Amino acid sequence: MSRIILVRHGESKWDQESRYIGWNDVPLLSNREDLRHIGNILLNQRADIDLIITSVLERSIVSAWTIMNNMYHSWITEIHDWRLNPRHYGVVQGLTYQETLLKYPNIDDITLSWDKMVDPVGLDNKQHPRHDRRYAHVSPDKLPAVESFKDVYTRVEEFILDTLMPALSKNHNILIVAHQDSIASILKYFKNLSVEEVVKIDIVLSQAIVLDYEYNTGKVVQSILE
Amino acid sequence: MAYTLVLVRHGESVWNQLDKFTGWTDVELSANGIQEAKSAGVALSQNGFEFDVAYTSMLDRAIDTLQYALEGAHMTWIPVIKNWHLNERHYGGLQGKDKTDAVEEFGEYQVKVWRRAFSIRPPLLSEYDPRYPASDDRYEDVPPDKLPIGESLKDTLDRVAPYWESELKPAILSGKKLIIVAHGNSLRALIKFLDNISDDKIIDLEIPTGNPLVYSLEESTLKVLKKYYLLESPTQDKVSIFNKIKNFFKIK
Repeated sequence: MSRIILVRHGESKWDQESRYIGWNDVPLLSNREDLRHIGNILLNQRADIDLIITSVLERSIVSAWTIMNNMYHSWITEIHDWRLNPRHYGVVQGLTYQETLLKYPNIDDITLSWDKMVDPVGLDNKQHPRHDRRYAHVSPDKLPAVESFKDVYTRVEEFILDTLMPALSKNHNILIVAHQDSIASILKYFKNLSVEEVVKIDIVLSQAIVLDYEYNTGKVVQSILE
Repeated sequence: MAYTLVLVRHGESVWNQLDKFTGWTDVELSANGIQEAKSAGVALSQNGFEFDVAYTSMLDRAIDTLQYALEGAHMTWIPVIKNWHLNERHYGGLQGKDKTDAVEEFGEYQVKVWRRAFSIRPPLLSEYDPRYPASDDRYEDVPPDKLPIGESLKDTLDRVAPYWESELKPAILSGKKLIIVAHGNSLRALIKFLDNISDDKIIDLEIPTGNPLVYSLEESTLKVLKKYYLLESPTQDKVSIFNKIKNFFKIK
């Protein structure tokens, strides 16, 4: 049996301002009590975590570090994988919800759909990941200029198969700190959720979800962290 | 083209203030140590440093220093590799002891020998000691006979050497830009290899905490072309003030 603990990152300034953050690297705010609390729970449980996996964005990485430091387990092996990034929100990245409504009156319909998306950013736009060193090792045709939920799921599934499954096959316990859509994608994979179900999942900031997983049978039990 | 390598000694820990033998004991950074680490990160980013990978030890104070520095520099995304070979010198039975208490127990001369001699070991730990490293979860993947139970400075250098040869050096030679955050004695080892410092000189080398030591290395040979501390130390401050005054009065 292995345990996957899924945590959504803590609050950034743009979360407060209701902006579409996407792949922008917006730092975490300094009030990290909720994350420290998760660390304390894991410490009290004497949780035996073997591996920590985050996206390549600061708000998820620093959230993971905050949890680890609070459970005195900074030394655990960590991996930062771009495939756990949030959805790339194309031309609306950086805009507030109100500003976005002017451009896309149907934005809610787009964000809550499986395969709709806003317009992509241009190749020369600074918001295109090809201008960012952290994606230098990723094949250019894989780097998105915008994404639908389905696109996020496709890359997360690839991550599950080549990175997560090998660790789970060794009965390892894994802490994953990521983003709304990448976490929802993991839930879809393990709980076999339909497309209609997965787009409705709402994970609040610093929320922790526990999946107990039996590798041999594929059996999954979800619970909350307490 | 030259390769750049940055070494950072962890910020001040709460035991530095208490003057205790720390070694492999996991001790948190002091408030001052956290500030040192953040400032190091900000200075690195303001001076245009970029990294491809970070290496650190398995000990909290080094990992925390790295994390605060990377957050300060907004470079948290780089891969982070934590390895026990970069740990501090293992101080065996002295770990956790107050330095004054150690003098009382073993005598001033003996304590001085342990601290200053190159190849004298401190009292070794038994496997029943709670400080025995093989009982610590974090080292469960390391064969117990490889884990130290008390090291001389020579032992520490001999332990860092294979990691330098098999991991760090090949990474630098492949063109990667490394930041290494470690401890007084594991960094002494790296500096000894880089600068070819003799055994008797290395013990006198003091490395300031939280001040990035920047190396510029010749490609393929890794010969040191240039080496400097990024932040001004108090003594360097005096020199630079002197230079400013000198320039002001145009003294040649």
